[in-house]
Amino acid sequence: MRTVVEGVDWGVKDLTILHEVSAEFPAGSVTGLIGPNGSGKTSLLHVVAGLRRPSQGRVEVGGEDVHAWSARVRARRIALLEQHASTSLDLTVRQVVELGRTPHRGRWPGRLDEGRRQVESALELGRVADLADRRWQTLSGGERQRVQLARSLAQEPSLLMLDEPTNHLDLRHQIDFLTTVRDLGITTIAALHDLDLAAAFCDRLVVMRGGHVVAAGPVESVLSSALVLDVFGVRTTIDRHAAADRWNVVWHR
Amino acid sequence: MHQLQAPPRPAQRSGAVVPIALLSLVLVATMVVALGIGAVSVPVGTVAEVVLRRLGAGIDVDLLDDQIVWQLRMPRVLAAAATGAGLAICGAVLQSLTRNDLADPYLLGISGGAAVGAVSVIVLGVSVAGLVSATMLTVGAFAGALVALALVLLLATGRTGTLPPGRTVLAGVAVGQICAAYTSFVVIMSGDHDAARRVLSWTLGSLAGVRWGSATFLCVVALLAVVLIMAFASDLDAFAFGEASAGSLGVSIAATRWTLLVGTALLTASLVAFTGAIGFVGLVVPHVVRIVWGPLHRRLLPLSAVAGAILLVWADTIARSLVTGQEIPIGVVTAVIGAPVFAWLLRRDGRQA
Repeated sequence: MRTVVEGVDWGVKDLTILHEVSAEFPAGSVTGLIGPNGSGKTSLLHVVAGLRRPSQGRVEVGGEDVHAWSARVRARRIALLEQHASTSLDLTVRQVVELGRTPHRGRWPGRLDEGRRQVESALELGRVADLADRRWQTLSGGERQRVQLARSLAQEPSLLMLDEPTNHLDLRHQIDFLTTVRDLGITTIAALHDLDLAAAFCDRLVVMRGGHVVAAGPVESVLSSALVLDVFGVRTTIDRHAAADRWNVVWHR
Repeated sequence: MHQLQAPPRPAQRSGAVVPIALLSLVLVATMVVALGIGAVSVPVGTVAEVVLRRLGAGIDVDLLDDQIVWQLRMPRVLAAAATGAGLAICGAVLQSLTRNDLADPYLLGISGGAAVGAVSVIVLGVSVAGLVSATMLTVGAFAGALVALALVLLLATGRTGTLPPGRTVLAGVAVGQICAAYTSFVVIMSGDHDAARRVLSWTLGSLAGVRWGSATFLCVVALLAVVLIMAFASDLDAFAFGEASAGSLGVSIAATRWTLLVGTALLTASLVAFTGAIGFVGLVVPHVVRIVWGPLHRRLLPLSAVAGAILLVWADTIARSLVTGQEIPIGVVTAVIGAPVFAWLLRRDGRQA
């Protein structure tokens, strides 16, 4: 669903972390949120996901003010996948995915088969159906991240927020994970560290530095070696890789 | 218990009703057997007749049996069940909320505060006109627990009104330590050996003084708590992956925390005021239930309640009947039963993982 961030300020106590952030995320697009550590990517994700209330400005999803929704309504429309979800509980994969049904369930324990169809389809879409009866504690990092994606999908969100989802994953799992996300067709905002992955998998980029948006738009019009040098202080060569048929970011000294 | 070893536990996917019904049957059986045990042993059949007559069946029973079973033992058995159920769900809720395996109902300084109240009544003779001393002890313990809770909340609450579990636990420890210091100081300074013994036996818990009135109160409180807390079952499940995750699943984190922390503290205070601080039930029972039936709260909460009730009915029965003419503090019994079972289950769980 089309998402618009308009003049958002947010901070902790006297420290302002986001300064007048504005950005637009077209329906069905995959947007990469890039920027150095501490540039405000996670803060922006949390504000857009409705977990933090901005001191100024507003966030609209599908034309509605996110911060006017109740927590439950919000969770039926926006799903957030954290960097490194962990639990000490002995849950099965299916039970973890069923957590995604929480905002759709009533307060009192009801029928056990509530949302069974959605859970099954989330398991399929996240490509973890074969793991359904495995225990969370026995999964690899790559499998866990796909299970968390399936949990998010069980929420049936129209906006998917991913906070550095490919950290801790090996190259193969990074590619598999982002391919799965792309194929969903859900409006997605993903904070990503790897510029090469971001360039390859995103339609659009929003570049942040020091709590400000410094550039935003389609990948090909935003990503340039001048911008990367300016924001990250790293020299790069950015071009279209013919054999791989994708944007390619190579750093050098 | 061998079925526990099958790695994917298909039983976890089925409903909560069957295990709750089975465990409840065990509880009823436990209570009937416990009613027959004591200085005078009463056959199970006679126990059943006494209970049925009292519930309205037209059966003739011996008046002495009725006196023993219904007037003397029934209040204690009911109080034990209610207290065990209440302590166990408090433990389950606090462990999930703080994501801390060591959390128990006394974590928030509750038992310390209750002890301060109890000691003030026992040693210093604090009293309110018109209240008999046993009632005064209950009132004092409850008031002490509430004051401790208020202090903990005051210390732990942030400027924005949030109640972070980590800080709440530390505040509970701090308040608990202050209370313990006060309690020890008062007992030592008084030099009254009988008072010291009464304080010690209070801190280890006892159901000896329970009559029908308090038993009824405890049962109502425990039943109400179990029913109300079920409304938070799926919210508590959502805390499995931490707070941000619970928040993104639509749980109002601040409201849930406040309600549950204050709710469990009030429940604990109500129980402790009547029974003293009975340890180990709230810590151990939820862990055992999790190991056997999994961590989801729609099963964990009711099953912990019933299992806690069973444990405490047995513990109290042993406490009052093991040594003739002498009550063993029930806290000693729960530790002696609970600790080895706990250690054994942890070890077998460790071997599976």
